[in-house]
Amino acid sequence: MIAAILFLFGSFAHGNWGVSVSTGAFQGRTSASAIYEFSGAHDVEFGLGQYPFGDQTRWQVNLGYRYSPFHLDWSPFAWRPLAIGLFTFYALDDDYFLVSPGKYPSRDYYEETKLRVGIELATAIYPARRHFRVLFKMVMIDTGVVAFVNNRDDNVEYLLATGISFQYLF
Amino acid sequence: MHLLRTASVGFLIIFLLGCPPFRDSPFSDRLARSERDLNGSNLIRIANVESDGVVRIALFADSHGNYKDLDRAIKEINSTSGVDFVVNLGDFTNSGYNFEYDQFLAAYKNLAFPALSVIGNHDAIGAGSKLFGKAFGATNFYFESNNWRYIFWHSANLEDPKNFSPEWLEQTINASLKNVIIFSHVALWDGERFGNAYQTILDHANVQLAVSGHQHVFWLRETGTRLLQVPRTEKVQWVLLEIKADGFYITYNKSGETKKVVFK
Repeated sequence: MIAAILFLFGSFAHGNWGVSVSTGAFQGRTSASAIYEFSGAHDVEFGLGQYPFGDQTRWQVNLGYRYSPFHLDWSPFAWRPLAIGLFTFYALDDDYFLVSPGKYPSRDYYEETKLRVGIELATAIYPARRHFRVLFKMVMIDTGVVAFVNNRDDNVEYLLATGISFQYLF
Repeated sequence: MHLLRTASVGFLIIFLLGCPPFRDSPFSDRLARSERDLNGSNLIRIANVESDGVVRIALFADSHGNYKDLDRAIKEINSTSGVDFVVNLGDFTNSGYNFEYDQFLAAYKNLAFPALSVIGNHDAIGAGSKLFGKAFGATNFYFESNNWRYIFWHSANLEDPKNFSPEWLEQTINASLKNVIIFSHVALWDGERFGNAYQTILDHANVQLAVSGHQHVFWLRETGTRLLQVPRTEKVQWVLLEIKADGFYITYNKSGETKKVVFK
């Protein structure tokens, strides 16, 4: 499905492939992704992230779409002040599940824990005529959004996560 | 377009000034907050709880994602005079995620009195049991005052069977020369999880009171071994348990209103 999405975007748009290395923002302690940017303002990203779990390193799959409506050219630098993204994070980890394992009284005893969806806000700065970009990102995942809505006017800073990405477009 | 430009500026202000915490993954066992071994450090803070002849214990349970009501309950507890210690009866997360632990810890640190926590079943899934170990330390422990042994028991048998030990509970009760109060998230009498397997523990002569959460509603059994089920924190519900020479005095608080019950 992921390959199909990337192929779809690649087929209908003429854009640029690139790579991204990130840390934080729920994408993993470190993560590496392929990115495809099309129409100048849209990009999709697919990659793997790793995270610590006890004395092990475990993995998650990240898939996201990002829209950057504004481009400000302040030569020699450029700035994308706001990008809005939608990400999914899928744990490749048997301690998380989509339906409650058989040891629990029913399949819906717990809500699924393996797949989370996140809303990303990002800002990017980069040299205007180079292919390199830095993104500062802030993500809130779906369960955090629910808690944020239920706890308006309260301090819920830990439901948000920040991170940084380094992108290179070919 | 104007909305997007406003959102851009708002985002930048939040990002640059507010700076939410760095978080590697929702699935990792890393906490952003620095608190560690809170049960151990709070046990040291608990003084002679029977010095004035009354043991006052504030109890709350099942706060899950109700951070706002939890903050209000903590304010009410803090404004109650003479509380000797507070017990969090578990299920302070929904899915045992690290950011849920951190959000709870941010509220928990505001408690003015020494506080002890037991792990709930929700807190033990995913990386939860590892996170509990880091933040709170031991899951099975006890301490004593002049006349009482207070036992804190890990009841998440399905989620974290490795640390689930009814044998430890039984041995700790048998070894006690004092009356016993048991604190656990899931009640020993929970039929869905335990059937009648632990009825002999409940019927033990040393056990005077068993306190639990899990079912989200306030409930009492006033015959035999006393049973107290603490409601969820939603609607600012919490319970004050006072142990006096002539019995247990229970005050149930909900949205600022109180109801008092006495067990003689």
